[in-house]
Amino acid sequence: MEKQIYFDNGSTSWPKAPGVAQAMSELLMKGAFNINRGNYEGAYEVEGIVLDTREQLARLFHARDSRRVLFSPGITYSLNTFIKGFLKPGDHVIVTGIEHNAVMRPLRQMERLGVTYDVARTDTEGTVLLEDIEAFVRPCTKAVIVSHASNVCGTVTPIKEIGEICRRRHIFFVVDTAQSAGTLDVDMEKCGIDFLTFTGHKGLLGPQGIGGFLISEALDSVMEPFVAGGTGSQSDSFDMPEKLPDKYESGTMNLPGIIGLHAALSYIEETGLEEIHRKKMELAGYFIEKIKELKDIRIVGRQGTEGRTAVVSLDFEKADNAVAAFTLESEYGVMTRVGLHCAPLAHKTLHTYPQGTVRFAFSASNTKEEIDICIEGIKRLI
Amino acid sequence: MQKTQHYVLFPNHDNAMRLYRELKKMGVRAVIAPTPRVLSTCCGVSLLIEEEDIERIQQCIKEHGIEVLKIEAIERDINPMRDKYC
Repeated sequence: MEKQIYFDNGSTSWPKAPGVAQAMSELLMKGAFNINRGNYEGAYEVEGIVLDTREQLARLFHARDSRRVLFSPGITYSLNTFIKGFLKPGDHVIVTGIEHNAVMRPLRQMERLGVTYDVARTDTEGTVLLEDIEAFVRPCTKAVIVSHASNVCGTVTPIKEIGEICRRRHIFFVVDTAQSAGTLDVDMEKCGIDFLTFTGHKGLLGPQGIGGFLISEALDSVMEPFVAGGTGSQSDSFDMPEKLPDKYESGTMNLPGIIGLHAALSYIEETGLEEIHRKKMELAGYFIEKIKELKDIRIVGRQGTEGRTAVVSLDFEKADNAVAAFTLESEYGVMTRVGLHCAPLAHKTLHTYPQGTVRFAFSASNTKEEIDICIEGIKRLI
Repeated sequence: MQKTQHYVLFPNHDNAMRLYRELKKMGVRAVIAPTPRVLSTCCGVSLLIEEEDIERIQQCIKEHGIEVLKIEAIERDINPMRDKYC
């Protein structure tokens, strides 16, 4: 086996965007100065790139003010920031049947403190039933939290419609863009999103360990920072600053991560989100058509390319999914992700619990030739 | 000889960087500098500016919604002639 074929871009994208590794390396080699602390030219230069990155993210997610772009170690931290920083005993939230454990585990922790939640059902393809969201709203409902695209089957959640419900019912709207940022156009304003969480290392093609969130003015005015500590500002006080970004950015930030993300976002801006999405979906469509020709394999979720991302999950009906994934990797060099994908709720919804699925997540760097090799491998398995 | 220096003070670094960037675009002189302790006990940064630019800077602050604490003037307290006796 000579070639390594990477189809695990749902876990983390690889290869990263051109320039990411170089930018990070340059920072570490030439001056990894700390921002908000260091009062010298080198630190101000790094601070300038951090500001550029906030502006890139504001453009990407159509936010009016880049001051509302906050960094965190990743989307899990961002979701915890909301769930633990905002929700109080007695509050109720609505989630969907495709949520990741990044939502479900902190919610379960909060349930022990008196927060309640309902799970809106989905259809057999993983599309949330909007009528459930409407029906679950109670006087104490504070938020709807949804995954924009399923990390298991790629089905896209109609966030614009859910945003309209939230606005009408005066509920905060939280969106997890782990599988959609860098692939789909996510418009914070049009979709009425109050808390948009993102990670830098998947579709945004940046390094691991950097992510963040964008917060609306209304939510910011009532939310407490989940983490408190030094910010390099108002250092004479034990109280957390109220100003953004300091309110939510305690401690030294992952500056190599932000600098890497800046390079990745520059690449995405140059290439164009639509072009990246077109390439990914062309590959996903090619793969799906080839799989449909085979027996004893079930494509989980949507059967075509409409309303989905380039994440495709397969259930090998006559083979153990883990053995199938292991064989693809060891004999054909095809790297996938097998199991429950940290999303047992989604697998229960999609009737793939507990066996899980083998997930193929394509990037714009993949090729049809790689898919052909993978399909040959799959044919030997069934 | 003492010289008056003018500083824009901010609640945080982010706002300082934002104003610095806008002033640079306008061609207005500004230098990022640590906030003199006499002006604030905070460990933040300030922009050292020229007195004649204050009006334009205030306009820029307003236009871009940049949050500042105040613009302050102090006498430069480092005597360049210190320790020189001849």
